[in-house]
Amino acid sequence: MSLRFRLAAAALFLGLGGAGAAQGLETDQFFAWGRHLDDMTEVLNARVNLELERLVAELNRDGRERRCQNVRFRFFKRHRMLFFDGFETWSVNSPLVSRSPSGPEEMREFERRYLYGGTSPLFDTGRWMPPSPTVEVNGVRLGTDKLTHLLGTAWYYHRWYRKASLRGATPAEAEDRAVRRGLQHEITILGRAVSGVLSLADLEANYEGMWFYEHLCAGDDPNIVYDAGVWRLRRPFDLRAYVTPEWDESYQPNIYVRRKWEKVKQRMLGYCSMLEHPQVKAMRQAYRERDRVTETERLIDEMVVAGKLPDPSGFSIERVCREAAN
Amino acid sequence: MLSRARWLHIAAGAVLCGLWAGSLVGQEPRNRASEDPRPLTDRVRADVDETSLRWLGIARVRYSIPLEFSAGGGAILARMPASHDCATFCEYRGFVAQVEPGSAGGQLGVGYARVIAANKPRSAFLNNVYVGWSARAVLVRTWGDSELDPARQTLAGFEGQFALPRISFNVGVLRRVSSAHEGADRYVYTAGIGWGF
Repeated sequence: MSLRFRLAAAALFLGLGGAGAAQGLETDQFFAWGRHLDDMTEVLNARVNLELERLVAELNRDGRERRCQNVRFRFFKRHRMLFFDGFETWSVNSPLVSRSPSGPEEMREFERRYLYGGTSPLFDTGRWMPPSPTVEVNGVRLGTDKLTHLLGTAWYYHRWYRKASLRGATPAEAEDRAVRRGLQHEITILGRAVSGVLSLADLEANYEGMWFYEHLCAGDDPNIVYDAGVWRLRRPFDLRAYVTPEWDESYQPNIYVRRKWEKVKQRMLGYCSMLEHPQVKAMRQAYRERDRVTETERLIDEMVVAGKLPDPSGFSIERVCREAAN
Repeated sequence: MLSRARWLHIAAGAVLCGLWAGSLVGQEPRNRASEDPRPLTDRVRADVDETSLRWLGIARVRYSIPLEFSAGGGAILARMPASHDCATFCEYRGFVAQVEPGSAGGQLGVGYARVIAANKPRSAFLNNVYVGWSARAVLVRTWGDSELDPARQTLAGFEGQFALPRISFNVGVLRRVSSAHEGADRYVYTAGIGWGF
């Protein structure tokens, strides 16, 4: 085999791994346990609404009615970056956003305690990308990567939903097709096959984002309307309508491949004592009160029953700590 | 025609310029969050819109045709939100310049880059490149054991680079601008694989 051929093969192999990892940022909500975080609902809402206002101004500069799908794409394009998302990039940098880890000292501590820190930084493609810090929204702690899922990845969910609808599927059938296709993507190129992690929280955010795009400029209660020759922001974006406790990866456990789970479990054990911390106890109690069975959970249950996925409850902190105690 | 020693001087000079500039211009983000009395929407707007120019050093090592093993140093100049520290990651979009001496030639490149990367506090370099691309106009001088015929020639052309974590690749096309014997190839197609940006 010539050197040039080997170079090309190596580039293709490593490139595919990297490209997959790029949209699969990992996050660690355990690290934020017991740490104070200000609620960022209003701040993040203000950031998204600023972009919606600018979209409206852009549409009015054009001065004519446009198809809703075109409006959706324009919004998606405004914050799309190279593999990453503008809202997430802003939220991990802005001094207006309270997040964890934050500041050099906490960043160093995070490097030591990161849930995925036990895996090889060379061979674990999930670690080739920066971990997403944790923020708090409406009482729920979530990785900033969820903004990418809600407003970025969900664009593709919505396209699948729309495609199925245009082919004559009922809204329920179209939703089902989009969610199943999204799960396949998360299992293969975006998640489990590349980084060894299937994040159910990511799927939840994708699902909610699909409805955000659907209702952005259509339906009974759209965000943006074309009214009397003028585009306007009729209903501001509000994260509270989308975020649920299932977005917290310390509450809604991920599904791991075996090689990764062995290492993650060891790190997770370090948090067992924190289950009794007042902040953690109160937060998890509040989560339980708000918890409901989501569409994503129904689909995962179906896959578990069919033997296609392991039961996510086996990867929960409660199970890990219980097994360790026995 | 530039001598090999001259190329090396240019390379060293450019790297030092990159480091100097990176250490001077707008590296410390401003933190105005705590005492700003403006309404939240105005603060968010200001945080998005108030920008500053930043220089950051870039470096790469690679194996490529026709430079063979090479190491490059340079800088990227990008307009960024002024308050962002980029310790986790930022998007840098802007002008890029790099010099790159190698075992079989040297290259000077200038162009446009778009890259998602992080830089550690007080570092003058992009420390982690996660994904990015650049399009550059390049000037190449080959020397030593170059496989080109003739071994010493000057070429000009374009190079495209795509970077992912741990790896970057490039392709391009060069046109010979120095004189050569009859029958020598006028165009050279380039390709490379390496680390860095």
